[in-house]
Amino acid sequence: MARKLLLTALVLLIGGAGAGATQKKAKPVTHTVTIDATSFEPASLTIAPGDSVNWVNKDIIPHTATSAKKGLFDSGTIATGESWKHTFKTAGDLAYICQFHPTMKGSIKVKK
Amino acid sequence: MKLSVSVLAGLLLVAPAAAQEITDAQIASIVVTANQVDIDAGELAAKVSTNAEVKKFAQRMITDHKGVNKSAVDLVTKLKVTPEDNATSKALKDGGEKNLANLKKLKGAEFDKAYMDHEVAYHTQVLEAVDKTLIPGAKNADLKALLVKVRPAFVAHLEHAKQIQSSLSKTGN
Repeated sequence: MARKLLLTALVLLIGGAGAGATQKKAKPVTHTVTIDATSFEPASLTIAPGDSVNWVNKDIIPHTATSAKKGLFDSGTIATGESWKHTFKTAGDLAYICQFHPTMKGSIKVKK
Repeated sequence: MKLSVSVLAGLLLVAPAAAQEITDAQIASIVVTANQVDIDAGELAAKVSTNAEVKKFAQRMITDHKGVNKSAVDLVTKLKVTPEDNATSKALKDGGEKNLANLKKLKGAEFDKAYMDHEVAYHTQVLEAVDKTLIPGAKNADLKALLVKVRPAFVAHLEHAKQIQSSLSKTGN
């Protein structure tokens, strides 16, 4: 009886481990968007839900990263040499701009 | 509506042929003067305008042109280049003063229109000078790189100025 239990437990353990191995749980990644020469580089970025984007201002003037749709994300002023990081949890296509230079555009595509 | 003809004339003095003869010291003086002219106009507009968009734009001109000037001055200091006044920088300075004198006589919608009209004309002419003379004429690689880096900011200024100019003409305000 104990042997049967032990065998069952072993099978469950191995089965469980096997199942765990095929379920790819990717670690969240931090991507970089460089702000320089009044532009976002890359202008378009595809990431996974749970990933973060770090905007780094290498320009000589301040900028922002502000979602086109109000309220989704807003860095506020990112001064020269400063950076701002945001984690994206939900899938979607998010256009954004620099509030100070509204013709400066970018997009974050959050894809499962 | 009177645009400051002398600032435009001053910039037109920087003819394409002059690109070969211009020195880095003269370029430095033109850059610093051009930025300062827009900072001064921006400071007046930030104080006088009651239009939220025009005020925001003016604040941006102050911040951005001060940022560019800081980088320009840091660079020429590092390069031990002393900005050298020249016909173009003098014409820019004169034009700037004439624009301020004109703007100081105005208020309300008239002020906003005159300020924005000048900003559009000014950024258009500055970009032309950057493209035709300053970038091609710059000898030092770092100075050239700074001009190239800054150019898109001026393009963004011009595009934004045109948007505001257009919306002012629509609302009749």
